[in-house]
Amino acid sequence: MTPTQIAGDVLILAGALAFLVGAIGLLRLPDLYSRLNGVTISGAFGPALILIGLLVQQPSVGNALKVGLALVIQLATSAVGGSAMARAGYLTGAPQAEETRFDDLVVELDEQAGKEHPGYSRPDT
Amino acid sequence: MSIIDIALAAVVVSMIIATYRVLRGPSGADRGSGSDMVFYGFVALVAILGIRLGTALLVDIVVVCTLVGFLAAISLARLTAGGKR
Amino acid sequence: MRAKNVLNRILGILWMPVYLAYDLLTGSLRVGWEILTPGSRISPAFVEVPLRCRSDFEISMLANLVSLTPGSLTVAARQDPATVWVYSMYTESHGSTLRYVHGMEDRLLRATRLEGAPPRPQDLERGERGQRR
Repeated sequence: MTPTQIAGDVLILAGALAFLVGAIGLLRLPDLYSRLNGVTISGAFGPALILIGLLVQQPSVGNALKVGLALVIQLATSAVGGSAMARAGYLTGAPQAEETRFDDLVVELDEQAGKEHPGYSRPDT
Repeated sequence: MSIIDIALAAVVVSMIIATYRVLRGPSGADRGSGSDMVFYGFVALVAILGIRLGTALLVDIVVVCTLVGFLAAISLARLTAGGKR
Repeated sequence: MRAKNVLNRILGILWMPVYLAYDLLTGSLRVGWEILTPGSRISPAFVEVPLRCRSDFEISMLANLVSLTPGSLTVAARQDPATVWVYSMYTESHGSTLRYVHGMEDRLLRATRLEGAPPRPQDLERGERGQRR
């Protein structure tokens, strides 16, 4: 075992553990929106750490380019996918956790739909 | 049993948990987020497998997989929203 | 003067990945700690954030940056007037989420505009019943 191999192994293990944390979050967190935050952890950190670990173990110019490309695509698309999923959930009325303190978006959507609304969300206590 | 094997097992376990979320719901978007997670897990599995087999070829597959996963996530979100924008 | 602006913008672009990595790490540790320890300490809220971004590119980049950091998530965006609705998992108050997103916006605008980020709007405090502006 050379030092670079050990460093790569540690990075890969860290990535897999980040994955596991996100998955446990998918089980434990109370509502769709907080679960999407758990998915963000594993979507951003899991593949990123694993790909960097791969690059550390097999360093070459071609690999560096490909890993860089995969990282940029992965980070950009996981963010867009998470937003799209949150928006779809909100529009179809996914339930919110009891702890939710206030919701400014419902004011905007009601005003757009021309529905009656007092013009403010729950107060910020 | 090397560290790579443990990493593979951890990713597979998290994919199983995500599949449970896909089956359970409760809302359509929850199922979508679960399947997002399964896609990320698949990407990670391919990358780890590339390390285990010692071939750099699988990195190309990782790039393609991320793109396909993105398209799947967006189309699932559109499908869940059901025409609402 | 112009050279100074260009230098400032280049520095802004170079600092972006560093800040992004820092935000990713701190956000992941916070949400990860929440996930792994028993009990629930989250206080989520959907906050309307008026922006200083103008172009499509700036708004979508900001929305992506907010979504990318664990602990906050963009739920909706509007172009005119530029606004995003942010779900934040740890909302101490309305103002703290506004300051968080505006801090991120400062760094983004430093990288995308030659003249740097304009000053933050001040009159965003809510009334006592939570009325808008």
